[in-house]
Amino acid sequence: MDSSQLLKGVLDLAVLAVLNERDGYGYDVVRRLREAGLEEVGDASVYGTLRRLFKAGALTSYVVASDEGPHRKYYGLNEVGRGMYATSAKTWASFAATMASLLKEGPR
Amino acid sequence: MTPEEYAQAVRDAVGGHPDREELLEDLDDHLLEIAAESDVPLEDRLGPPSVYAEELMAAYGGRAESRQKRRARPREWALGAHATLLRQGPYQSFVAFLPELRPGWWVLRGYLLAMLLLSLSGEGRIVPGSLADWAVVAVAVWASVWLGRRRGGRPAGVLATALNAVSVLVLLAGLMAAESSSGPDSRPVAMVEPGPNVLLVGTGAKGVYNIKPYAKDGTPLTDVYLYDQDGNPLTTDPESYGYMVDRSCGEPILNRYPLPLVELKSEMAKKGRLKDGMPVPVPSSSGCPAATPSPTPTK
Repeated sequence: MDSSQLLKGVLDLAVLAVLNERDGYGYDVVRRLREAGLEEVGDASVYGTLRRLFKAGALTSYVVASDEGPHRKYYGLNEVGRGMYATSAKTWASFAATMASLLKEGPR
Repeated sequence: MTPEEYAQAVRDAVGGHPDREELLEDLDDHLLEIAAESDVPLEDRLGPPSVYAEELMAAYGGRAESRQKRRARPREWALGAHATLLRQGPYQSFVAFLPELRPGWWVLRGYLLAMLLLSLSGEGRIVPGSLADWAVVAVAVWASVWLGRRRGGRPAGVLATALNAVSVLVLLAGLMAAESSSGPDSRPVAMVEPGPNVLLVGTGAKGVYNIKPYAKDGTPLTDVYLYDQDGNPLTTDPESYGYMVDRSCGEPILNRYPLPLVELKSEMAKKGRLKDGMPVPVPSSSGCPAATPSPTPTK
């Protein structure tokens, strides 16, 4: 099965989870997702998701000056974002449990 | 490609997205960050800018994607309906039969376009009138068949579609013109003009110039007065058929039938002997009819 298709459905939750851990700038989020095992995640997809969540009012943002390179725009969860994360995580946990139980009873 | 160039190419590809500014707000900084991490060119790491823009818009959502979907909808609907109908036997055989009609359509298309061309350059017509017309038709049919048989690319396809559309319009216009021109004339009925004197113009090709009434038992009737539903006298126009009303017994009543008619030719022969050139009453051996209508049958 193509995991990039599965990823599309849960990218919002993955980004929320990363930011729930700690605030991050665009490329930092991409890197952390890849380090967590989502190696196929696309840079543009993450960047687009961050911009959408920000527009939806789920994220705060602030710019941090950097001596080495460009200024970095950091994103973090606000109240709306934390609520969204909690709800999505619950939905995912239930869905994943259903899938796990289905697969346990599946091919033997 | 520098990060700036890459960012510009992405901007161009994003086009008129409704949230363009928000979407691309910190794209430059983001790309600089990525570029700073490695010497590998951005195109190699992120793919072509157009693909990056597509992925970006797909993740963000918005009009760019939905507009694409909306544009495809009527076509998808038509294809869906076609697929559903294809499961029906009659539709399936109809669709299978359509290609066989194609050569016939090519010939008809050539003919229609030739007639359009001839009508534009001269008088409107639906049938070739001269040898030159037929030559134009032959050339047009040949060209239409040639175009039809050619399995060309896009330009030929567009041309064929345009010609098909024009041909269908010409066909419809021709049918409508034929209907309106042949309409009233082809009806075999007596045309009655409203007014004090009603004229029986004709039925079919010959027309009516006299009426011979008969009784129920087959006896011919004379001096029968005919009127229409409004009381107007029914009269005919014998002159149009080479006859004239015999005025030898005075001015006849024109709706009293049968009319005493004489052939115009014989009257014209007498004309030479006349000073004023007008036919004059010739004494009739059969005698003049009574001044008032009589139901008495006569031979």
